[in-house]
Amino acid sequence: MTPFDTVFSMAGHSTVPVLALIHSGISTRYIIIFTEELEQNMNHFESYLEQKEWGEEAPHVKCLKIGSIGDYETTYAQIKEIFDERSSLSVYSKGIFLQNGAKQLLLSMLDMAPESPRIFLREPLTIHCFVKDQEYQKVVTLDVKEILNSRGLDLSESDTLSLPNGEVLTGVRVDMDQRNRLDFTLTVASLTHEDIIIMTYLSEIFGRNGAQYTIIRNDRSTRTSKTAASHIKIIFKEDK
Amino acid sequence: MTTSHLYCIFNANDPTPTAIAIRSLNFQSVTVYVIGHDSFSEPQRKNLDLLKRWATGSGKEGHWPDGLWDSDWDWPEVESDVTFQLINGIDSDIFGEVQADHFFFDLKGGTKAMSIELMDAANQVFDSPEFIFSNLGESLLLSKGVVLPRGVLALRELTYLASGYVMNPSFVPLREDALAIQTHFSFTQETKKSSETKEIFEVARFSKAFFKSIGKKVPADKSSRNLMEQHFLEDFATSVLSLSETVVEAVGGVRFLDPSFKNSKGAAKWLLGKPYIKKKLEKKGLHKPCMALLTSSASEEENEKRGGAIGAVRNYLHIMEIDVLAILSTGELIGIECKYGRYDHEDVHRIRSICQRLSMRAIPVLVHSKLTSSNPYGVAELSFTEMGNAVELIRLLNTRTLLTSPGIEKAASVSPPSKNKNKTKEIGNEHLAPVNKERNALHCLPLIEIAVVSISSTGGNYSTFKRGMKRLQISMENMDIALAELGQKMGFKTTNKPDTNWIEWDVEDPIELNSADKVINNSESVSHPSDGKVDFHKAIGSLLLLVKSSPRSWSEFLVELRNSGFNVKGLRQRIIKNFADELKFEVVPGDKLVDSGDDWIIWN
Repeated sequence: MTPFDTVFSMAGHSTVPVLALIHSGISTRYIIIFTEELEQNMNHFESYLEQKEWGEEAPHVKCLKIGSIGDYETTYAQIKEIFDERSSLSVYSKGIFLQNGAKQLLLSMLDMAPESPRIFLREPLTIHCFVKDQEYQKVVTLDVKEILNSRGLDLSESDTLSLPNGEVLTGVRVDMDQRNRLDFTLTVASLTHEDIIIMTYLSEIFGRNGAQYTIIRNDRSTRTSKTAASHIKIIFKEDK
Repeated sequence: MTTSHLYCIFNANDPTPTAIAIRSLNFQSVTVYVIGHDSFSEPQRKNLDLLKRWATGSGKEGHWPDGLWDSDWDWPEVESDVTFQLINGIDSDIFGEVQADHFFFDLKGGTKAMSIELMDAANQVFDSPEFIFSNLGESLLLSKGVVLPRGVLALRELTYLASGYVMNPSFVPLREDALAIQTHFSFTQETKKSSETKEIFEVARFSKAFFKSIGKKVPADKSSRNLMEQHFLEDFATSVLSLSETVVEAVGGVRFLDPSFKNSKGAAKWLLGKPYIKKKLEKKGLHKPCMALLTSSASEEENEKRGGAIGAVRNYLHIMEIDVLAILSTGELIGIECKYGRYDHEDVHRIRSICQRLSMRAIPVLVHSKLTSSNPYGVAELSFTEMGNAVELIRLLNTRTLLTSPGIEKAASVSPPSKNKNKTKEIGNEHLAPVNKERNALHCLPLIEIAVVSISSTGGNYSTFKRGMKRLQISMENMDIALAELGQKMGFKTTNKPDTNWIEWDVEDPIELNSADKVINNSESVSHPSDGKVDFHKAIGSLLLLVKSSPRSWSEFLVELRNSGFNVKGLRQRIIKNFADELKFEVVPGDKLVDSGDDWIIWN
């Protein structure tokens, strides 16, 4: 099922929505627009795309950088330019993925192409397309390794996590939760600031809401845990 | 005169965006759609009540004894005619018969799906509806791609909407007084010796000459002077902050009240029962009248007879307080705790939690009397000697905290193959050039912390540590101060031994400032230029030199300045005027800046 010629999407802090989109097979081309704040993450995403083995029908994925999220006038003009360049395509062959990205930019895209089909992501990982009065659905499957790779991380067989900078983390368990989000869990005997910094770093890569971050500690001291941001869950569990 | 009407969605988890939308463009009338009210959680219902009360111009709840509520705690009532309409979903029938010349739709509030539905419904019913998106300080015209600058809400409105508390500041700086403080500011350095650890350290003190020049009397005895200076630090921080270009409003000694008298009464009774407060009020014959005011429903006339009881009670109604509170033009709040003498990590965490309670947009800061600023706990700790550049410094310290996370640090220097970049960067074709410059150790404490832990646990010596710092491009210049800061937090001290024993762990008495410690030396008075413009000038100058050695695009140049909290309005003109002759360069015309890539500046 490839109802679209091109699908436009904004990149967000979480990698899963865009990853699900390009794996859905609903289009032959994807234009992923990202603000300069996300450049680092997108560099890893592009490296991932280069290495990715798609099989027979590899989609064309193009990543386009625009200005800063804080510079609305510039980013608006750049998005308009991207849309104008593809104005020859029929309205219904251009879809807009509305799951990712800053709300003001998504709504601007929609204002530029109000008739374009809309595409959403429903949990757990189903792509919904609305074209005129019709609705299509496509269930997508992603595995942990795929998601990690798209941000430049790698999970080895011995459960060590290689970071984009070449450093290696041991002891971090990576699972998929019920909502198909990554779930990072670090178990430590005694909580240190380094543990919190590791989780903070991971949440910078995958977004505060893009994954779960949990530290299970065996000590009762709460002193260090006060420095953790609210999206990092710190649980006390007595070592048996 | 034409009339305009606004339609917007109530933002259930934070009423502030809806309030900003209502105030944004002087609408004659406003319809606020409250979607799915029946399934609202308790906090969401409370948020709706807050928004409704905010529109009336006062947070006052229920009955208060006559005269006790201060009208200064209120704000201007919303002039638009606001209607709250409870609906279960959005369709083209919700708009009703509203008479207006122009219809605006603010899409900031609600979920993405709700905003899209409102947009679709508006497009079905109205001819050329105007879609706007109101942020703090600006309204985006979504159909035109244009930004209109707007005033932000007043500090008392934002704190009320975010926390439900009413603000009662005790100090509002006058501009001329603040200017005098900034102009005449000078400090002395004192060398102190900790009575506990025998460590010697330097602290800053307001100079006598400074107090004299602003007409402030300095008490003769030392403890009274210390007390006065501690108190003055709050006024000083408020005054200097109020002069910053990015600060809209700054107030000091801020008390936060629950707008329900029932709740505030409990707080006041508890405080009035404290022995030292009770004694103080009894001396003035005010304790009994104050208690009577809290327990009876006396008339205004009777209350007036109770003399200063009303004024006194107002000082004890608060739930929490903060030394300095400021609002920036971006709508962010800065909450400051001032410590002239000893403080520890608990004080840092306290200001962090007060700010979290106050607003999700509040940035916690601790102002102290050490000579250097740092950020060991993810909260900016500023030396009062650097208050002149407070906003810039807070941003810098907070940015550094993020940048110095272990992976991020190195990831920044990872460059994907250029082939890859060229292929994908259709717009802008820009990339970040690595910055080859050593960073101040005091701005990289989290990274140094990790290095200390890992090197000392693997038996590395001081040379290993120094090599690590070099690899991470961290300067050794302020390293001793940085290690002292971290040692205080983590419980170690450095020993000056070259071998693996260069660090001694489990130091039980961390080094802390103690105003009671003995002063062993007073240095000469040091005058301090507190004018932020000087540093902005310096920042651009050094950044231009960096651009020369490591070219970057105009956009990247702007981002770097913006990230440091600087206003970049009219930047091209300012650069040409101030630096072109001195540094010998030319800048391409304004309309070519973005398209010129790294060649926007031509070095002669």
